[in-house]
Amino acid sequence: MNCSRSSGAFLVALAGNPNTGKSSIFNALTGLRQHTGNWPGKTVTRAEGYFSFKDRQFHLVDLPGTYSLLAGSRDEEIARDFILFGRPDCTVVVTDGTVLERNLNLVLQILEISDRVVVCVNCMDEAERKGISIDRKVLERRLGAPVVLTSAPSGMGLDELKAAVFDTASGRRLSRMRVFRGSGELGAALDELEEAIESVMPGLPSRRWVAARLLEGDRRIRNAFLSGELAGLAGKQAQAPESFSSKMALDGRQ
Amino acid sequence: MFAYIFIAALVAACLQLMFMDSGPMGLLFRSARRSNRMLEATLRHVLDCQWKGRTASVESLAGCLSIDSGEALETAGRLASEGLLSIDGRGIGLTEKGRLEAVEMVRKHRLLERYFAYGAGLDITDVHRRAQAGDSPAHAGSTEELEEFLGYPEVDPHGEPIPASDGELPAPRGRALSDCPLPGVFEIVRVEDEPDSLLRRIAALGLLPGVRLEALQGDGGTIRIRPVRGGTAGESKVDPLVASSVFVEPVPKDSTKARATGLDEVHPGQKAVIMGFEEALRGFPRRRLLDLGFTEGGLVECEYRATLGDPAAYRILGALIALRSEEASKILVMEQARNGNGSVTTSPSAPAPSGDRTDSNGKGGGR
Repeated sequence: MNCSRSSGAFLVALAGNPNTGKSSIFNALTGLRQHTGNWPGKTVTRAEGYFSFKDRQFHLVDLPGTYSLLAGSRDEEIARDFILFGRPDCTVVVTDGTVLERNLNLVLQILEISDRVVVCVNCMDEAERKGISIDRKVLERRLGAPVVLTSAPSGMGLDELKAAVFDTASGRRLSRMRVFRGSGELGAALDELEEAIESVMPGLPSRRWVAARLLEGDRRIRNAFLSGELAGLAGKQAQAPESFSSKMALDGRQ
Repeated sequence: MFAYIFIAALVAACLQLMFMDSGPMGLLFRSARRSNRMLEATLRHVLDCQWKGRTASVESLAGCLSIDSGEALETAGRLASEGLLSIDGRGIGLTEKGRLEAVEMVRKHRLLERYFAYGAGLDITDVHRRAQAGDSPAHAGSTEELEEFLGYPEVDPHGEPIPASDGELPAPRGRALSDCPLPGVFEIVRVEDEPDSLLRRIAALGLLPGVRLEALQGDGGTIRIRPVRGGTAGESKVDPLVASSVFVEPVPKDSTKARATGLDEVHPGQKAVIMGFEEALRGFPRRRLLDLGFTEGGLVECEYRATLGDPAAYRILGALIALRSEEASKILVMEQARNGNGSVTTSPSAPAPSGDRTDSNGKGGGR
């Protein structure tokens, strides 16, 4: 799953719902500089390509189209693992401007696990035909992430997209991470778990998200937690969570 | 000399036939497997009796497994000699060791039943037999993996609680219909799953968990019922035995549950507000529907139905989603009144190739 990162090239992930024109964006950005293979150990195809902007190289990886990161199907697993553990320098979420509300589900989920997000609202040509207009500035403010309106067929917005990716990947511009608070019993359980996680893995990003996944019994996250793989993301000295038992997570569920 | 070879060949043939699984002579092999299943079923039966406050006996075991008392006694004896059961004058009980094993077996059995009912779509009267036979879904390995795949369900298809991995058993829900004050509106939460003949009668009347019905006192100790949601249409009479084997919870007249219908009952052109999901909908299908926008408070409109009524296309969050009746029936909604002037709004469809995108239910990314 780890991409070999050639020196100097930024790693960019391309995520989005199926049928959003994600492939068109991918093709428009990479042109002929792309090739397809498989995700390691899976039969799902993986497309990769390159583009340059401002004398920097960008290695673009097309993730499988998914409606969310949480359902646990193969495609969702691949997408989520790449964004969470692959640590791309930027994640572009391609959305369909004609059904933006439904597409935002994935955007919001990605904003829970990454602060390097660019939201691409595609299919603007169709949106215009249907009489839908999108206020880019308001959307950007509300989401806390750069928003670019594009129309792949005409090439509209592609330069702005590359610029946004450049700004995000180089760290000039970060997106605002979302935190799901939960209320009542759920909120209290998350508070408790979050505290416990912080004590064994200080500085772990998206702590509350991890707590929520543990409460759900998400096996991939649970294993990543216990094996220390998650700790690798914390970026600080974190001890192995021997004091933390998965039973505690399951108790929280009951 | 030839005689020896002949005898050797005969013995070899017999041995092969006896140990082959299939074939009329695969007795030893098959009987070994069957007796394993009987041992498992015995442990489960004793534990189930304990949970229900009854005492297991050789007679109850024989009845449950449909074997004669001699065989029942022998089976129980084998388990006793392995330190799993204790048999005395009062009946059959579980040792601590036996209890742990029995809990694990009940867990696996009820999870498998759930898989066969909701994952494989089998009839509720078949799931017990299939789970008993030890059939296992190919892609789920351990019991924990099966549990996760099913979305950590709390009850099996009959409404019986599924014990947690530490043996903790949630209290069984519901009160026997025969014990409930009538008339009233009730929802079935649990049904007696043994003996098999009783379950078949219950299923034939359409009285399964999730069904909501109106119940009135009938003549001669019977109860008249009329399904409000699910079940078989029309009124039926339920005798005292069935009434004491069907466990219900009251549904207050004005509650949203009383007024909610399934999305499959919404006609083209009608809008509805989503109230929630049926308990039977868990795991991956539930998550998929949530991701597509079927969340509480969401507005959904039925746009059209296929000729035979199934599947139907629903507009949710701006996209058109196709659902089969079986899936849509598990989404609880409250219908909205039509527009004041009686008109029905339909969305414009663009003439260009990219028209309305119809997504099938998560087929793009799902299993």
